[in-house]
Amino acid sequence: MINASKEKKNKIIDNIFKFFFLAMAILSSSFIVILVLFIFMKGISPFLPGYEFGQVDIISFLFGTTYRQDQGIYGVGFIVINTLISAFASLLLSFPISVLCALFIVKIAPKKLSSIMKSVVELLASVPSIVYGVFASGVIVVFVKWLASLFGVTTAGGSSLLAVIILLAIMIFPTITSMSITAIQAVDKDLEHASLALGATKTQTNFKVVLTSAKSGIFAGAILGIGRAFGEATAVSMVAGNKLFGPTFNLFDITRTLTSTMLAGLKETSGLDYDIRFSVGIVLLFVIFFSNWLLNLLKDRIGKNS
Amino acid sequence: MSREVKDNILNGITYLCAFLGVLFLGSILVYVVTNGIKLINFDLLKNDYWSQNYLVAVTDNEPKEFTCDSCNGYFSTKWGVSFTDEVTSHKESVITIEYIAPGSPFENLTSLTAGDLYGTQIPVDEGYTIEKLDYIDSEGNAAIGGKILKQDAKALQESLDDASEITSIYIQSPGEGIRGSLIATLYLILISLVISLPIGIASAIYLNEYADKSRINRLIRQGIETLTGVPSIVYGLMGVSVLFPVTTVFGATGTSILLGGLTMAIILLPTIIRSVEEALIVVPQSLRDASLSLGATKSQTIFKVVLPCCMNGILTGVLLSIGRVIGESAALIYTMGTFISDNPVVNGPATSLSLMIWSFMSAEQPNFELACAISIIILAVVLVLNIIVKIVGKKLSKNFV
Amino acid sequence: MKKILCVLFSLMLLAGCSSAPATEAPASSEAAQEPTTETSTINVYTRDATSGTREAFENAIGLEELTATAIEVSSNGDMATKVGADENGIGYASLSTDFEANNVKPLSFEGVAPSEETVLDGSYAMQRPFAFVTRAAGDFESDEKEQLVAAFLDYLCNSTEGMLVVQSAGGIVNLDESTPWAELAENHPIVNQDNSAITISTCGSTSVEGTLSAALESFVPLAGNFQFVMNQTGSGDGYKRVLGEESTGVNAADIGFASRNFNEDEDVSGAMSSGTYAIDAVVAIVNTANTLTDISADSLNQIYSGTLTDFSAVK
Repeated sequence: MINASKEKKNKIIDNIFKFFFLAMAILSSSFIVILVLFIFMKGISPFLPGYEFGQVDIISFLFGTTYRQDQGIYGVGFIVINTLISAFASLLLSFPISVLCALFIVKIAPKKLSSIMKSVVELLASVPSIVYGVFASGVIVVFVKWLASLFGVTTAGGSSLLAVIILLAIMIFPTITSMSITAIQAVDKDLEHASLALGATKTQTNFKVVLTSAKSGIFAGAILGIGRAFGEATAVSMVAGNKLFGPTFNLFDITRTLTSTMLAGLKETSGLDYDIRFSVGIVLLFVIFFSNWLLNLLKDRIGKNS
Repeated sequence: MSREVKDNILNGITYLCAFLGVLFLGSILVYVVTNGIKLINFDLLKNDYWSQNYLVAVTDNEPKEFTCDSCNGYFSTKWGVSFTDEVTSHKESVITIEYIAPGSPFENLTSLTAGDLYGTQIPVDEGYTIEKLDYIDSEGNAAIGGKILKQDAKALQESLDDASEITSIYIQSPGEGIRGSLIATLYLILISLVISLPIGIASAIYLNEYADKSRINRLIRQGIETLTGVPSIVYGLMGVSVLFPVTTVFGATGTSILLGGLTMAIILLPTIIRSVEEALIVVPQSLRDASLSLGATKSQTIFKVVLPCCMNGILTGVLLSIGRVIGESAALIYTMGTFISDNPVVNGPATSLSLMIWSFMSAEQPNFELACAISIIILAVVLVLNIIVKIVGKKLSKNFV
Repeated sequence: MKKILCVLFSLMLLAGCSSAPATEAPASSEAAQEPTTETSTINVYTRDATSGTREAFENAIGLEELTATAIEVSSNGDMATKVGADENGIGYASLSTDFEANNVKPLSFEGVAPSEETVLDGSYAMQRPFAFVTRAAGDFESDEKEQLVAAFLDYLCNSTEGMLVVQSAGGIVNLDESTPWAELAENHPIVNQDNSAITISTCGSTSVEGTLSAALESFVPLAGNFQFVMNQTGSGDGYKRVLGEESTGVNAADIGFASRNFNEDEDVSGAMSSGTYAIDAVVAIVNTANTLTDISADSLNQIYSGTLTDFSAVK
C-alpha cells in the first residue's frame, strides 16, 4: 500500500521533471524562432512593394556581384561565395591541426605539459575577438605581405583573403581543440585496451579507434568552430579590405564577408542601408543552415566507413 | 610501407600540429603581453576611469619661500609645489603634481563648485593633474596657465612663480582605471550564467535522456544548433528590441548590464547545451540501467547518477561560456552601451572589459597598448575563474566509471 | 631519440608538402588577376560609405564615382595603420591623427599645408564641422536640465575656457571670438546651485568624443557637479536619438552630435539649440616612403575614381 502511493508520487515527480526539461528545451529552441522572426520582419521589408526607401529587386540582391552602399547597389551573391570560401578554408586549415593537437594533449603529451597546453587553449578561447583583430593587423598582415612579395605580387598592405583565412583559423582553433579534448577524453578506455590487445600499435589505436569514437564530439567542435568563423565580424573587418565587387578567388586579393558587410558603418547609417543588413543576416542564416547540414552529412559518412 | 614508418609519420604529424597550435597561441600571447605589459600596474586596476574634477581656491593666498631637495620636477619656490610632465595610458600629456612642500598653500585647497562640497577642503595629493590655473601675475593682471594652454610642467612652474595671487585651480584626480568595468564584467558573467546554465543543462538533459527521434525533437535540436552561427551583432539588435521590455520590469530605463546579461544568456545556450550533451552521451548506459534497476526513478537517476558524471562537460560549458562573455563586444555595444561607468549597477549602463577595448580601438586614435593591457587583465581574470571553477568542479564531481 | 628523429622527419616532409602546393596556387591565380596586384599601382583606401570623414573628403574633391578597387577600412586609426603599412597606399584621415606614429605623412591640398590657421581662414578646403543639436525646448526631463544644457552649450561654443579645452583636445576653434566664462556665467544662474542629481546624456558622432569629454569634464566643477553619460555611436544617431525616431526609446539623449552638417532629412529647426562648436580638417595621407608632398583636388579625384593609377603620374 505504502509502496504503491510512493510509486505514484515518484511517477508524478518524474513526469513533472520530464515536462520541465521539455519546456526548457522548447524555450531554448524558441529563441531561434524569435530571432528569425525578428530578422525576417526587418530584412524582408526592402523587397516588398511600397517600401519607403525604394523597393530592391530580390534577384539582383541575391545574385548580384557588386555591393556599393554609396551607389545604392546591393548584391550579396559574391559575398556569399567569399564567406563560404573563407570560412571553409579556415576550417580546413584549422580542423586537422586542432584535432591532432587535442590528440597530442590527451594521449601523447606528458601529464604536466598536457595540463599546461590545455589551460593555454582554454585561455585563448576567451581572448576578445578584437584583440585577434589587433594581432592580425599587426602580425598576420605583415606575414602575408612578406609571403606575397616572395611570389612577386603586391597586396593591399597585407589585407587579403589569406589574412582572413589565417585569422579565422587561429580564432576557431581553441574552440575546436577544447571540444575535441573533451570528446577524446571521453572515449571508453575498454575500446582502446581491446585495440591494443588485438596487436594494434598505440598510434594506430589513437587514429583508428580513439579519433573515430570521438567523432561526434569532434564534429560538434567543428560545427561550433565554423559557426564562429561565419559569425566573426569585428576582427575580420580589420583585415578583409571590404572589396566592392567579387567574388575573390585570389588568396592575395582583398575580400568581403557577410558579417563585415553587416558591420561596415552600421553605427552611422539609417534607412535602406540599415534595413538591408537584416536581409544580409537572413542570407547568413541560410548559409549557416547549409554548412551545418553539410557537416552533419559528413559526420554520418565518416561514421559509416569505420 | 611498414607499420612502424607509418606510425612514425602519423606521430610526427601529430607532434607538428601540436607544435603549430602552441606556436600560434604562444605568438598571440607574446604579442599581447609585450605590447601591454608596460601599462599594467595596480593603479590601472584600482582607479576609477573618470577623474574627479575639482575647481579649487587656495585659502592661504600668499606666496612664500619653499625649498625642495629631492624634487626631480619643476619646483615652484614661491608656492611650494613641484610638477612633472607625464604621459597617461591614453597617450595624453599631463602635468602631474610630484610633491607638495609642508606648509604650502597647496596643502589647503577648498572647493569652489556649487553644491554640498562648496568651501570644504579637497584632499589633493601627489598624482593629481593641473588642468588650468587662473592667477594674478606680478603686474596685477589676470592670467591663465596649465595644460589647456598647452603648457608643460616647466612653463606652469614659471607661471606659478610669477603669480602674486591664485584665483582658482582646475585639478583632476588620477583616473583611467578599469575598476568599474572589471566589476561590470563579473556582474555580466554571473547574470548570464545564472540564467543560461539551468536552461541549458535542462535542455541538454531533455535532448539526450528523453527525446526520441521524432520530428519535433529534431526540429528543437536543429533550432538550437542554428543559434550557434547567428552573428552576435544580430543578437544585440534582438536584445534591444525584444528583451528590453523585460528589463524595464527591473527598473532599467535604457541599456543596462541586465539587458546585456539576458542577451548573452541566449548567446551562451547552444554552447552550454552542446558541451553538456557531449558529456551526457559518454555516460555509460550501464550506469543508468544499474541505477534504475536498483529502484531509483528516472529523475533520481538523472540528478544523482548521470549529472555528477558529466560534471566535466558542464564545466567545459561554463569555461567556454565565461570566455565567450568576456570576449564578446558586438552584441553588447547595443545592449550595454559604450559609456564607461565607475559604479556599475545591474539595471544601469556599464561597459565590460572587451567593450572598453572596443571603445579604445574604434576611437579616432586607436590605443593598441591599452587594448593589450586590458587583454592581459582579461586573460588573468579568465585564468583565475578557470582555476576556481576547476576546484569547485573537483569537489562536486563524482566518478562512478 | 626515436621521437626526435620522427619529429625531424615529419617536419621535413611537411615543409616539402606545404611548399609544393603553395608555389602552384598563386601562380595560377596570378594569371587570372587584374592589374591591381602589380607593383607601383596606387592602392586606394577609403572609409565605409556612412563615415562623416568620407563625406567631407568626397565633397572636397568633387568625387562622383569611387573606383571599384577601393579598399574599405573601418576607422580613422585603421586608415592610418593600413596606409602606414602600404608604400603604394593613399588615404585620408583627421588632422588630429598622430601621423608620425603611424608611419604616414599628411599631404598639402591645392598647395596649402593643413594647419589650424589655414583651416580657420578657410584656405585649406578639406574640412568638416563638429555640429550639435539638442532636444526640443520643453522636451527635457526637467527645467533645470534644460537650463544646464543651455549653459553647457554656451560654455562649449562661446567661452574662452571651453574653447581652450576643445582646442587642447584636438578641435579647431576660433579663439578671437571668445568671452571669459565668468561673464557668460551670469546668464546661467543654474550653475550656482548643486546639480549633482542631474545627468546630461550625449549621443552621436564618435569623432567628437575626445573634445566633448574634455569639455564636459572641465564643465563639471563649474556647474555644481552634474553627472554626464556619453553614448557616442556615430553621426547617424546624433539626430535620431534627440529629435528623431529614437528620441523616446532606450537610447534617447539630451544633446546629439554629428561630425558633418545635419542633412535635409534631419530637421534641426525644432531643437532648443543647434550649431557648430569646432572644425576638424580631413587630410590626404600617404606612406612616409612616398615622395609626394602636395596634391590637387583634381589628382585626388582621378585617383579615387580610378583613372589615375600611378604615383609617378601625379602632378
